Amino acid sequence: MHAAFKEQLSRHVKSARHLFARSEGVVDLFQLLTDNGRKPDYKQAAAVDTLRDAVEVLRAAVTQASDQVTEQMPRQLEGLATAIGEVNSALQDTLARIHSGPLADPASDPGRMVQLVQEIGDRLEVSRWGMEARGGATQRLTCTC
Amino acid sequence: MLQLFESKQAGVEGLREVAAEFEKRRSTWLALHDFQAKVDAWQLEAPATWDHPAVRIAVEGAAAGAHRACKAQKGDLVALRLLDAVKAFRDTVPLR
Repeated sequence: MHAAFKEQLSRHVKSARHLFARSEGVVDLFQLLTDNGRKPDYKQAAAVDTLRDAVEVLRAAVTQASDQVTEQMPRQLEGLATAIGEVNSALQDTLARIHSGPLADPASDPGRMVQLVQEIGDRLEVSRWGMEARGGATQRLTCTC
Repeated sequence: MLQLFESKQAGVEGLREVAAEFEKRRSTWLALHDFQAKVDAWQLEAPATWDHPAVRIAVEGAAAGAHRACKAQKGDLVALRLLDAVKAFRDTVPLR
């Protein structure tokens, strides 16, 4: 969520910079004409003022959004670190279940063990999707069953 | 940030490692289960009525899989059980 917002913001900042540059060009040209004695047209002067105001509003919005992203970053990182810790802990548990208990006991009933590996496989899928959703893992794993 | 990146990578690597270990375990139990189910089904019928080439292919396939699993996972007792089951079947049932 935070990452998507940040990415979207970065796209908006890029297009806003382009708009700032273009609007500055318009304002500078208008100023140049006025400085050289050309009588400003009322409608053009009003449009340039509106443009200046809009640019300021946009500039403030971009700054506010950037500040918001920066402010939320530590909390987002903390949440991500906690989630990774939880996934790692679950993985350790899963590894322990694979290497000990009935799954490691050759005397276990094969039918029951097939059911058990199915259950563990489902849980691994959940872990994988969880990590992908958090942007951790993007490569497909071959643990489907 | 670097620490987080490293722990994230560790999480991904950990998941890959667990998935690989899981896959080994899953395939061994599945092979044993399949082989036992086939043996049970064959034993419901008289050996004279079996499709012997198909039975031989299934037994050889199970034996090859068990050998592969034993080689890849040294000390895997489930793979050894599969190998024993195949051997026991071969010893007791003469396949044409």
